Amino acid sequence: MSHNGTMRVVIAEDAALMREGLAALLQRFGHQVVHAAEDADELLEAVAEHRPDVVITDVRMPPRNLDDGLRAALAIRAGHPDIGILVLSQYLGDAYAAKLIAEPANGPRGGGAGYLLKDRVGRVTDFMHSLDVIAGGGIVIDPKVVGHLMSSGRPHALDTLSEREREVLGRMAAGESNAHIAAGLHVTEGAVVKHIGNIFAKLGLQAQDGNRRVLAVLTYLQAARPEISR
Amino acid sequence: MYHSAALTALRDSPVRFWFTRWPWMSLAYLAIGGLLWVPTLLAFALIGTIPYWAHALAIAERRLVRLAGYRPIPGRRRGLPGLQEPMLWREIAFALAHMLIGLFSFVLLVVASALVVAGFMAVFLMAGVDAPLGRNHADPALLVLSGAVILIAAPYVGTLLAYVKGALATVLLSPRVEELQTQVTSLARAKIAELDRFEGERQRIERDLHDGTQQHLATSAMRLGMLELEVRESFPPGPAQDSALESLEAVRRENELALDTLRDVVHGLRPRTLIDDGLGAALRELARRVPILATVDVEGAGRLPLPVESSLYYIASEAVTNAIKHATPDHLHIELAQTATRIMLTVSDDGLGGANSARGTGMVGMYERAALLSGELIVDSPPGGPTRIVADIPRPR
Repeated sequence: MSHNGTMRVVIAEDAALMREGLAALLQRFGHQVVHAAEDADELLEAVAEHRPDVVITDVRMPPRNLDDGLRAALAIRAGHPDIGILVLSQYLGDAYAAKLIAEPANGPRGGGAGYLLKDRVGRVTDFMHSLDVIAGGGIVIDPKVVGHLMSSGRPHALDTLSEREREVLGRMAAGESNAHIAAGLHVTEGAVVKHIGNIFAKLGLQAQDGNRRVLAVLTYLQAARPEISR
Repeated sequence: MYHSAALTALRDSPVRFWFTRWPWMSLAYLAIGGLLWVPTLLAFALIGTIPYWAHALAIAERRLVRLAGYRPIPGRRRGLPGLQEPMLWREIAFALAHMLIGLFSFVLLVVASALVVAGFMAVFLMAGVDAPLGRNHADPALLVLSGAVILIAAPYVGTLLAYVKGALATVLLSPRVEELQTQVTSLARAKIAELDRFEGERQRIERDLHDGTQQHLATSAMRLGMLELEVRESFPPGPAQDSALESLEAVRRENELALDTLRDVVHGLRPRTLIDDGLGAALRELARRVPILATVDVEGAGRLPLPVESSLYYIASEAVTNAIKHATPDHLHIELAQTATRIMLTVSDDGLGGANSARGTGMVGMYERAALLSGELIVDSPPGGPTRIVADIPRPR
C-alpha cells in the first residue's frame, strides 16, 4: 500500500456540519471522499461498495445511537483487514481504543487503526499526518486517551525491556501477528510468546487487566510517539 | 413478656405508682375501649361491616396502646388488608377479643364505681347526714371498707387489665416478620426505581451535552482548522499572518480547554464503558486511569441492573479518587465479589489511611449510594493506613 498521494476515504458522521467540513478538509488535501455516510449501516454498505483505503467514523451514531460506529469499525476491521480505520470520538476512556486495536487482523500486516478525539481534526496538519500513518498500516491513539498510562507508576518500564523485547513490542505495535514477528526475527513462535510474556511482566500488566497486548502496545505508542502528544 | 412503661413503673414502686399518671392513662385506655365497644357490637351484628370496623379499630388501637405504656405498634402499608392476608384475620380476632375485654372492663368499671360511690355515701351516713337513698340494708362500715379497698386497688387492677389488653393488641396487630420482609422488598424496589429515575436524568444530560455542546465545540474546532488554512493562503507570510495565526491559536486553545473540561464532566456522569461493557470493564478502565499501580479482581462477569452498576462504579470511583488525593498509596486494589445473595465491592489501598466522612462530600455520597441500594458501606481506615472500603449490597432480584 502506498499512500503518498490520494486516498480514497469513506466518512461516517451523523452531524451534517461536521461531516461536510470533514469532507471539504480531506478534499482540500487532495483526498477523494467516495462516500459520506450518515449512520453505521450506510457506512458498512459504502465500505462494501467502494472498498476505500481509509474509513473515518464517529463512535456514537444512528441507528442505535450507542457505539454503532465503533461496532461498524470492528466489523470492517474483521471483514476488510486491509482498510485503515480512524475512529473519532468524544469519549475519554481507553476501552474503545483498546477494542479497536485488540488483535492484529489476519495477514502479514493488519490495516492501520487510529482513535482520536474529535477536536483533533482542527489541528489539520497533525490530523492529516495521523491519517497517513493509519493508511500506511500504523496505529495512532490520541495522547489524551492514553495519557494516564504515561503517568502510571511505571513510566520507565519500557527502559527495562531488552533490545529483543523492544523489537517484539515494536512489531506488535505495528499490528504484526506472533507468527509474522517470529518470521521477521528468524525465531520460533514459542520464543516470541516467551518474549511477550516477559514484556507483560516488566510492564506490570496482569491477565485480568483485559487485553494485555493492547495495553503493552499503548504503553509503547505513548513513549514512542511524543510528536503527537502536544 | 411485653414491655410496658406502666407495668415497669408499677413494679419499681407499687406505692408511688398510685400517684403517677399511669392509673389515669390506663383508666382512659379502658374507658375509650369501653366506648368503642358499642360500635364493635354493632359491627358484629351487621356481618358485612366486620372487616372495615376491625381495620379501623386496629388503626386506633395501634396508637391507643401508648396509654397503657406500650410503644405504638408499627402499622402496615395503607389500605384494607386483602382477604388472603393474615393481617385481616388477626385484626378481626382482635376486634372479637376487644368486644369481650370491653364488656368485662365495662362491667368491672360500673361495679367498682358503684361500690366506691356507695362507700362515700356510707361515710356520710355514719357522719350523721341523711342518707340520700333512703333506707340502706348494707352495713355502712362494710360499704366504707369495700369502697376504700376498691379505691386503693382500682389503679392496680385497671393497669393490669390495660396491660393485658395492650399485650394482646401488640401480639395481634404487629406486622409479622414475613410481612416486614415484603415491605422491605417493596421499599428496595422503590429505591431502585428512584435510582432509575436518577440515572435517566444523568443519561439525558449526558446525551444533551454529547449531541449538543460537544458537537458544536468539535465542529468549531474543525472550522478553526479550516480558518488556519485560509489565513496561511490569504495572508503573505509576515507579521500580519503571524498575528492572525496567534489570535487563532488562542481561540483554539480556549476551545480545546472547553472540550477537555466538558469531556471530564461527561465521563464523570456516565462512562460509556459502563453502559457498553458493564461494571467489570469500567472498573478496569478506572484502574488504568489512575497514576499509580492499580489492580482489579472482578468475579462473575454477569451484568447487573444499570442503576446498580452505575452506583457501584460511582462508589469505586469516589474511593479511588479519595485514595489518590489524600492517602498517597503505592498500590490500589479494586475487587468485585458476588455470591448468590450479596454483591461486595472492595477498594483497598496501602496509603496513609484516616479516611472519614468529614473529608468532604464524596464519602457521604458513597454512604448514600450504598444505602439507596439497601446495602451498607464499611470504611476501615485507621490513621497510618491501610484503608479498606467495602460496599456490601444485596443482589437485586
